[in-house]
Amino acid sequence: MRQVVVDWNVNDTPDDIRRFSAALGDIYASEPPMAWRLDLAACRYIGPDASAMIYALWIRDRQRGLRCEVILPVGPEPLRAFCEFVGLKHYLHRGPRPDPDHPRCETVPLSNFYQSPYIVSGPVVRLVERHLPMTGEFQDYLQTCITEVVQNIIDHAESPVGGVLAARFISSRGEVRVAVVDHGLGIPKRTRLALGLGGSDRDILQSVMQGGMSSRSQAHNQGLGLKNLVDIVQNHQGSLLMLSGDAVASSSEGREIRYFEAERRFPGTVVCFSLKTEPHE
Amino acid sequence: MNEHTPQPAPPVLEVAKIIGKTGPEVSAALAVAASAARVLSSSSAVRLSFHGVRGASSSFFNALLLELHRLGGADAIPDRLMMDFDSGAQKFVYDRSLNAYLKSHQPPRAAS
Repeated sequence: MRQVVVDWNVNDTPDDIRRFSAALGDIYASEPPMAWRLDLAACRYIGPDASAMIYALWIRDRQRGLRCEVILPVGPEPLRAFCEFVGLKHYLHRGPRPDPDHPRCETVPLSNFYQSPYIVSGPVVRLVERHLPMTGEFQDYLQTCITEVVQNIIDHAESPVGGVLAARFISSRGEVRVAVVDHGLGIPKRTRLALGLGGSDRDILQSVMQGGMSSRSQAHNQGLGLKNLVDIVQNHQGSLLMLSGDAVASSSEGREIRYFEAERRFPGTVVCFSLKTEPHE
Repeated sequence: MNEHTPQPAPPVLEVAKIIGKTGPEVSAALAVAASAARVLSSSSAVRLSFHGVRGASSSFFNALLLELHRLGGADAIPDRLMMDFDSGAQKFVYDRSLNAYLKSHQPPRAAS
């Protein structure tokens, strides 16, 4: 059995999510596939991004008939509560079903989807609505970002696990954070297969995110979805992280996106973004 | 008709009513396009009101435009199609889809 120990805090930052993905690299790349144990006991923070990555990996390898074991953090109390609210305890340890309507809950539990982007985005909007008055405009930006990402997975990813989504409203930071993960072909590979492009994963991801390049998996694809996501997040001073194949794209607080090579290949695509809920100029 | 004669206001379709609880999924875009094409068969233009519609993606608008093109003919877009939005996000996403549509359906240039 392959064992990975994560004894550091996986904060909701691009650097930590990339580091977490690299830590799981041996499990992702294991050939032949092998049983694994992920030990998070000493970790003191994980958020929706890491949770979605863990659950997607768990689904992938359970589908392969592998034994998978996740040791969840033992504390502190807010993290134990998060693991319950986000559904890690339920899905991985047969714990109680998450209750998204609990008054203390600031989390949209993990959901595994194969279709219906509009329905997938609904709980995130309702979560934010419960915690602060939301303008129709902000609601629309949030819902549009989620539907763009989810539709992209449905149209292009060919992911055997579908997609996994989790979200969290972080009142202290005045932001809503959304993570969507799949274990499909990945954007660079899908684009390369469809368009016969050469170049590195990083170059291809950059071209796709700049808009107008689509693998046209469906007749209605125009290559606009990710470009729309990028522009909406940047216009809201949000942050964005994408891992796909060997490529990483990262942007914080509305700044220009940086593209680089991943430390370890991610088999599929991770999209994490946050939007500031506070009004801004 | 005198060019200064006011044109009658085009019929308005409430998109929220057409798509119902399923929301702006790609499949719902086809239903909206079919409704718009029916109006265009007896009217010179149609106005689609997106009042109350949230989270329509580029795929939704792309599918709407392509289906309306198929059902209503090449002259339907953009001249006979009017859109009302109550959110900047919807207009932003639609404008990009419309530009992509127009770019891919430009008539061939006449030889000089």
